[in-house]
Amino acid sequence: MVRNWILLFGIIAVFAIAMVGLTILPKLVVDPRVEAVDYGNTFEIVQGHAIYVREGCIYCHSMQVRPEGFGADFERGWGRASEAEDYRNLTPHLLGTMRTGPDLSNIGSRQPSVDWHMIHLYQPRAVSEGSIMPPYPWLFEVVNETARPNREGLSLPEEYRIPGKKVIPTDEARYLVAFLLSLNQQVPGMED
Amino acid sequence: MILETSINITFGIWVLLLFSLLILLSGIALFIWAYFSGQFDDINKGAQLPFDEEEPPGEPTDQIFKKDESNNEA
Amino acid sequence: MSSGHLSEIDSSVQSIRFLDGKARYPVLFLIASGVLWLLFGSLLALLASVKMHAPEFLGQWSFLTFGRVRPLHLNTMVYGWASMTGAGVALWLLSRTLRVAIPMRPYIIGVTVIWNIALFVGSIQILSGFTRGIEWLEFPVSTMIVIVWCILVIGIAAMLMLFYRNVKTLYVSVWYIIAAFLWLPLLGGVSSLPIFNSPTVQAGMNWWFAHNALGLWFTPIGLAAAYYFIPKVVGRPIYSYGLSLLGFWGLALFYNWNGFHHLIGSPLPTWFVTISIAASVMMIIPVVVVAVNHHMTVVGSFSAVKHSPTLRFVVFGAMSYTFVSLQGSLQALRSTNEVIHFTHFVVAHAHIGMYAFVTMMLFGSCYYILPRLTNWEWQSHKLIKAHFWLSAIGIILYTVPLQIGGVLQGLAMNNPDIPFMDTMNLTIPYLIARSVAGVLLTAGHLIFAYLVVRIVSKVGLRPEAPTIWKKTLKET
Ligand code: HEC
Repeated sequence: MVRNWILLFGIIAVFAIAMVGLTILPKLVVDPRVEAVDYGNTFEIVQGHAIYVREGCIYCHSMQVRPEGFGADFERGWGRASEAEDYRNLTPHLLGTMRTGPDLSNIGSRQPSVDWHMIHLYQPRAVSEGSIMPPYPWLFEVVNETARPNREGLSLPEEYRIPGKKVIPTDEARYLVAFLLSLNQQVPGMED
Repeated sequence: MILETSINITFGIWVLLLFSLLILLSGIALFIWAYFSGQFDDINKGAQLPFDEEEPPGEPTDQIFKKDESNNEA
Repeated sequence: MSSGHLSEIDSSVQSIRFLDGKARYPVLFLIASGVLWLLFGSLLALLASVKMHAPEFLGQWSFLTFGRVRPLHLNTMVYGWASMTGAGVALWLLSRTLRVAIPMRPYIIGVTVIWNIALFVGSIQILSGFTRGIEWLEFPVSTMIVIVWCILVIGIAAMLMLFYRNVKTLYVSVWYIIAAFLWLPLLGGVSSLPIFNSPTVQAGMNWWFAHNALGLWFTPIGLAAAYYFIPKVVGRPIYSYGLSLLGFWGLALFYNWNGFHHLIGSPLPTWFVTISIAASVMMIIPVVVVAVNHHMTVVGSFSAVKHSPTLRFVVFGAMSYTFVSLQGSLQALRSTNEVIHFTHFVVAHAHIGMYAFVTMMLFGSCYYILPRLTNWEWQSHKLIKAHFWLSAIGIILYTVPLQIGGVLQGLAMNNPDIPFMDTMNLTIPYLIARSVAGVLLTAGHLIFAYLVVRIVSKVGLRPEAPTIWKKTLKET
């Protein structure tokens, strides 16, 4: 009997030690840094973050820039090395592990055009020849040219246009783009 | 930088050091216990456990592809 | 020495035939459920793989977008196929090595039903966008808690077996399995705690969990199976029992600390990452110990490997374990990680772990266990061989090109003179090779599922005498 308990104790002890080391300690060290910043997230940004999560952009895009000299992240113009404060206090985290597409930590300052993002989300190949990024047509509405006179359709290239129709972004697309544009490395309250 | 140190580093190092010492000592204590209570006396005994009278060591089991060659394909 | 030990066993209620009879329904149900999720997961895998090089393929439906199909593939394979079949195999191994019938049988069947329902609900949730959004933990917390609870209940049955066992000494497989049944519920519980809902910290918890799910749940079960089936099928005790214990405690000590090697270069404090790199390198010790032990047990019995469907898969799995773990230790080094991090190399590495090691080990275990549970024989040797070769060639065709592609992708990524689009374009041939490999693997799974259905429903010719039983035991 004693041996059973010692075995169980040993198994749990090795687990618990590592758990404290790799989850609790980082929390004690990192959390106060993040909590010290007021991000002023708008409704659009929070919603856009949720849509980014929902559509699984994380499986192709990372959001962590490695320090200068480690990889070529800096030289590619993806920004300075990421800091714990960069994530606007939004969960789930979006650090990502894959760069099928470019890192997005600083996409807001690299590509500030709303129209570009809209077209790219509707049909990536319309702006980026040969891209393997999936299209997200359900974030857009296709309506007759004459409908909704006060809203302009996306200016798609000829081959992606549907005759007599126009493509207008839904609120979800607007939120997602607002989130993408918010991704720049100027953290409020943090000056470099 | 917003923040330099959120926890007192020297204090933290002491806590970690004592903590790891505790772990190390309890590991040694457990080993001594195991040694003197005879855990290592016959260490290879356990190796016999998958076998019994029905399926004793020395004979491969599960050789179904072997029969296969003498008989016709199932 | 051996006879003294064997006499401990009371041959009527602790005979393997009796134990297998008791194990029949819970273990069969777990394995059959696992196979169902294997098929579903393979379908998702094919979809995701094709979508990577043909982005317009089924691109107009939100619920089939790459970003939802891919995580669901991972979750059904991990919490469906590998966990369910793994739990079934683990219970059966415990019953054999502890010489005690599986307790709580109706409860185990009950929680397996609930587990299946949870997976079904979770699948719908992910496809419709209700994801938790954390890699390896995409099921919403509430669904995940149900799955963890199911495994916990099965774990309680495992603990009961440990305490009411009929042998004095614990076989090394038991150490691994008991540990796995303690670790997974702890992992699942801790990872669901809301205290980790702050962004950067969550990344740490994420990779601590994901790496440990493989290292502290699937690896122990896979190794337990190898430690049982290799000696059992070859008919020779394990080379060194002492080494196997060293291997166990080495794994328990070092694997726990590995998770942060997924975060090299990330904004998490560097010293945590450094600890993980050190621990990853230390993993060489338990891995080499296990490799030596298995190799020395098999060596000289090549014909036994050739003639046994079980051992083919298990030896393939054991070799993959050594390979993938050593590769993992190398990958954790900063200089290698600089190249392969964020590339397809890691995806291929994960598949060597989850497929070439864990899944092959589970296939092998099923080939041994199912005839003994059903008292029936596999219906076609040809199909078993076809399954083996499809799986073996499929996974090699999957991983080797993709790892080459991953290294090229990483090297290109680290050269700022190469435009980003080229790093993407150069991977496309390798991604297509992966889809081809996926077709082979799926064909293998279909064959396996067909064989399982045949043996469970006992259709086909009744074998004159099941070849698995020795002559003297052939009645029933
Ligand atoms: C299958 C992988 C994949 C998925 C999923 C994916 N992307 Fe992409 N993404 C790419 C690739 C490849 C590129 C580079 C080519 C291009 O610009 O289209 C890219 C480029 C981008 C760019 C332009 C980056 C730059 O530096 O110009 C943005 C912005 C972007 N993606 C946003 C998203 C968003 C938002 C999502 C989720 C809704 C998403 N991506 C999902 C693969 C993907």
